[in-house]
Amino acid sequence: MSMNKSTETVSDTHLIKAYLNGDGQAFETLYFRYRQQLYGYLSNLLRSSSIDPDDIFEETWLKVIDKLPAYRDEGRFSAWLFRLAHNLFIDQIRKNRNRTFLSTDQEDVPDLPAPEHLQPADVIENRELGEEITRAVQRLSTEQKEVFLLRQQELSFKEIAEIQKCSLNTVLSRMHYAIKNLRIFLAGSRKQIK
Amino acid sequence: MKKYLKLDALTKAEVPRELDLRILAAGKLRQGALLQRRRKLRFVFSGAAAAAAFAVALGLCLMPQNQDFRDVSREEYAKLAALSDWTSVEQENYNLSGEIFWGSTSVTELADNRTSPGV
Repeated sequence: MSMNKSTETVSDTHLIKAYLNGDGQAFETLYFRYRQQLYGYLSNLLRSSSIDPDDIFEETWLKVIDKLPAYRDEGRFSAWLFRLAHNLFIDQIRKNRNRTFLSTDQEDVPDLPAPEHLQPADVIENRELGEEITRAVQRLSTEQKEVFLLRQQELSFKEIAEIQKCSLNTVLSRMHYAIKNLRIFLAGSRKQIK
Repeated sequence: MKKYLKLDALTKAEVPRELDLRILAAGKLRQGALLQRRRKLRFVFSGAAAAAAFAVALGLCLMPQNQDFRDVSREEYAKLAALSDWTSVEQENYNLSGEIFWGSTSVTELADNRTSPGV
């Protein structure tokens, strides 16, 4: 299934309205716009758990389909989408009651400087680095991991706070410790980061 | 905006095709149901409006031209009907009165004839 370039410029709200008015292509466009991001987020979030990301992914979109008629344009669609996924993920955790996530003690983590050769703001496609960081992210606590991954999805801290149902300061704190811990994990790794 | 490290491995992942197909099918199904519901609602509302208009028109057509007759209650109607509903006694009285009247008239006429000259 391929997307027309012209559909990329159509807003999410417009696509939703078109879908509700019977446009068969509208939902497909909207779905293809966000499916990889959502799947990537869930895959990384649930990598070290017993929860199948496919289930959460599918349930999230089914919920989106169900709730679209009542959707209000009060923020970005992506934030709403990730919020639904988060809520389903939390529901699943409560059902399973099996926390397999690692959590670090934030108070005792020393503050180490980041490696100087890591360049921010670039989309780094170096496979080794990517794998290192992906592994390191799995060692974060659930909350820190989630904040970090949602930030990777370009959600604002305010949106992340709404998703996690906590204050902005809490989100900022979690992000701060997530970065701190990642630096430690990466610095402690024996592989050379290029 | 503050710059931060961004990795494709953390932001995107290829979705299994079966998931794509199931979700898109669910989207189409729901869309069909929504449109059908909308059509039903439109039918119900337009039907209700037509029925209301018909009821008003029917009421206007059935309105009587003579309001007085319709205003007479059953009780009053019964009273009016009773006036023409004579019993046999009343009928007899009427007949006798009539005979007396016509009888006296005849007597008067006879009396007038006797007294008239040339008879």
